Amino acid sequence: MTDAVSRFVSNATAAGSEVVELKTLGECFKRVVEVLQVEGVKHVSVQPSSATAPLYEMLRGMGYNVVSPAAGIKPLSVVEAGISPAELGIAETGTVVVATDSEAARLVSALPLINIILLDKSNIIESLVDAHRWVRGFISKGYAVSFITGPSKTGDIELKMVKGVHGPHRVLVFIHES
Amino acid sequence: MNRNLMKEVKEALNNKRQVANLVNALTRMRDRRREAVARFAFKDFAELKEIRRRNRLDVRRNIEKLREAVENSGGFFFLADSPEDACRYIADVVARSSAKLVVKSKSMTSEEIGLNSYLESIGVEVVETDLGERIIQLAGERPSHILAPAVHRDAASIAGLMAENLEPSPKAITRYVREDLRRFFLNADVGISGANVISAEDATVAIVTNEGNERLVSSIPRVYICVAGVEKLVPSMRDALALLRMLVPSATGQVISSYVTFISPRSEGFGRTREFHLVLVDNGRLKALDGLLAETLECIRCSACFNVCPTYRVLGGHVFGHIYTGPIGLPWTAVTHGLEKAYEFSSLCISCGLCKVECPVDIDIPFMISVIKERGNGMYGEAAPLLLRNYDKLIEIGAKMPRLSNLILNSKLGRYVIEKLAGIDSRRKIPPLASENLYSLSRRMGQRIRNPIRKAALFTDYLLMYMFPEIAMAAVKVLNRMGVYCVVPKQGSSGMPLIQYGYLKKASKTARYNISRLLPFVREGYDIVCLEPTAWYCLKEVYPRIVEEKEEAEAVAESSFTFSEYLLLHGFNEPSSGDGLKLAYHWPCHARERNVVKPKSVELLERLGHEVMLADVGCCGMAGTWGMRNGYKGYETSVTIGKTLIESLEKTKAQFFITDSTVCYLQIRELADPRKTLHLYQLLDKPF
Ligand code: SF4
Ligand code: SF4
Repeated sequence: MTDAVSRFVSNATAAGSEVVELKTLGECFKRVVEVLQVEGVKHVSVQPSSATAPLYEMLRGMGYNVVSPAAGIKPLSVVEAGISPAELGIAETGTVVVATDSEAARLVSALPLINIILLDKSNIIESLVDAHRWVRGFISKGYAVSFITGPSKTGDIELKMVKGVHGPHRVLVFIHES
Repeated sequence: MNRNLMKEVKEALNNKRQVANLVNALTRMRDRRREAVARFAFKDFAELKEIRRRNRLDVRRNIEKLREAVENSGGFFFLADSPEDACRYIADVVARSSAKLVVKSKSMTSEEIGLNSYLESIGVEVVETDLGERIIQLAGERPSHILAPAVHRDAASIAGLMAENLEPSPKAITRYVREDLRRFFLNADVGISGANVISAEDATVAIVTNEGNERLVSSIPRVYICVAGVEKLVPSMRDALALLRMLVPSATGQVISSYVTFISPRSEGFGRTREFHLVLVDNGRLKALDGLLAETLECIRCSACFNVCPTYRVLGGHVFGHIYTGPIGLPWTAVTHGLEKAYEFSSLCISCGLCKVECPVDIDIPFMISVIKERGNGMYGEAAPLLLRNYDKLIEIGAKMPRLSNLILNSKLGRYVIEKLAGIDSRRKIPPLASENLYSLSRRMGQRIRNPIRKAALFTDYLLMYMFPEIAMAAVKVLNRMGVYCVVPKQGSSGMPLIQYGYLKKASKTARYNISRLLPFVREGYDIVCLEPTAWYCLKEVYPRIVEEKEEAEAVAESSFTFSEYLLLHGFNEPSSGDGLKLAYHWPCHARERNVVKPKSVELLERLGHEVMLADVGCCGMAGTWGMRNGYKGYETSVTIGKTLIESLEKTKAQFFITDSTVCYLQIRELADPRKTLHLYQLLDKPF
């Protein structure tokens, strides 16, 4: 198990994700706020889930403009940072699997320049191919599934890597215990 | 034929900046990819091949499975027979939703069917959102590479397309495009994408990108349309992920792309049900399932074959392609756009075989291209003039009177006539015919061997047989020293030029003849040692495919070895004589094997105490008779390709340049310092 976690960390890091291992969900929330402060973020969106519900309230209380994915595309488009709970981590590739109950919620990790992902340590599996069971399960429930491994980037011009093409230029993965 | 290919070749070769951009970029992509796939075991590739073979055989069943799954989950499914069918269906959907603006994520299938111009003709604005595709769209060009559509352009030329005074750096251009395209994303009515793979049972499309544009294309607009070829279908999500696991490293050299986006009809859009359409395109694919081009449908579009193709690497996809470009672009064109369109640029394939070696699915691209040439020969042209097709007879006759033949070869008038009749460029040095051929030389010299431990029958091809028998004899002496008794059975040429130019019936005759000459030796316990990599390649890779007597061909193939392979196998271990040399080795294309990174000949030379550097740019550009053909038909491109090899050989500062294919040896000797160029057998025979 710990082996899978360390493989996940090293592969995700190699792909350009900024991975931080933390203890509790509460610590993750604290870190989220730190990042938002450092980056000077004002508009943020939180993908709804039981894990992120307290964060939603917390950020509101702190005066952030917290945009709900259901609010529509115009308000979503000004969001600078998106916070997404991950369903699964894949050690082999350093991938996080995000499943949202609507296409709109998928945009939380697609539109802003910063994407922070919260991942429960016990949800890290070994192999990419093994993820097919979960992916099938989410899809059959009507979820929109995304694999995220590092920031949005391109090598289309002279094969030089540039980050933040259409999506985030920073992807942070906060790993916490159950 | 509508294309003036030679004019296109000329223009491409004269665009020195583009040639340099291409060679640099593709070599880097090749190396990145090789590093990434090195972690896979042989069984990973075997599994991929098996999955793709099964996908191909089951495609009809999977189409029905997909149709049912899409319709059961609230989506719309359409199987389009032709490009017109597909375009009409999509245009109807667009019109019904009163869309004015369509955003697109990369889709080669939409290029295939001409979707953009179709939609534009009915007044819809279409915006490509993949950075490379956007560049191409603004330039009014076609993609020249499936993965890196703008690989032929540099930042300066791209910045100019975007906006005035835009800083010509990849970063500034990317920033600009992010801002510029946002307004299209946010206001688009319809999003269209291709697919990397489609899981039939889940009715789910999977797309891999690094940019993340497909996420916006599929999530924001009210209507989403996926348009893809039927070959993208796999039965299950398990197959889909197994395929992606190999696809991404083989394409970009990453472990996985930044994003894999799964799109299904079940997920909800912005507060209402999103319309989901899946348009599967047949356009010749299902018909191809039963023929010699069927393997095309196993392609996963990773573009690994592009990176190594010697002619594609200097000419680019606008010349080496129709809509589909690169090596596998030839069979793709034949399947989807017809034989004539493929035949038109098929002469650019020089049958080096590198694409097959690089392909993760082990698709026999060179063979399919030979088939395309064969089908087109006579109908749309001839891949080689009559005299060149009978090169073996010419050499046999010439070798009967070597003195006279050489006189002709050395005279201006002689060369003029040869250029006119056989299409051999007068600038190319043609090696003289030896006064004594290998049969008679080997008989006369005899063999210094007392108690042979093994027996070998040599298969040599015609350059060694009639022009350089002394090099072949050097190999014989080395074999003798290690206790191998050699015979030179009566044999024909390897037939490679016939295979290369698509005269497969004639090649099959040659193959049958050679098999009939070699098989008795195999049955008597001889090993077949091939003194030319091309001869070995023919026995191993080609003959079993082109003769009916499969068992015989396989029996010969199984007993065939390259010279270096054979020496290593039987423990060739001469003590190094004095100091080792500093050598640069050129690896002949036909000596390469899948997933082998170190040439056998390098291993051999290292055993002898030499320091060997691999000048690995790929093909030397000679490709048998092709590099001898006049002007832009061969010579000019051949020399352009050859020069990159020479540069990299010279960079090593080696004392000698070594290779073990006589064809490559000729090219290097002609373009580099001939005193530094040695055939492997010469080096081994006389340890320096
Ligand atoms: S065989 Fe060689 S020349 Fe022909 S397509 Fe393949 S890589 Fe290119
Ligand atoms: S033919 Fe093979 S190497 Fe070329 S794109 Fe297809 S799968 Fe990749």
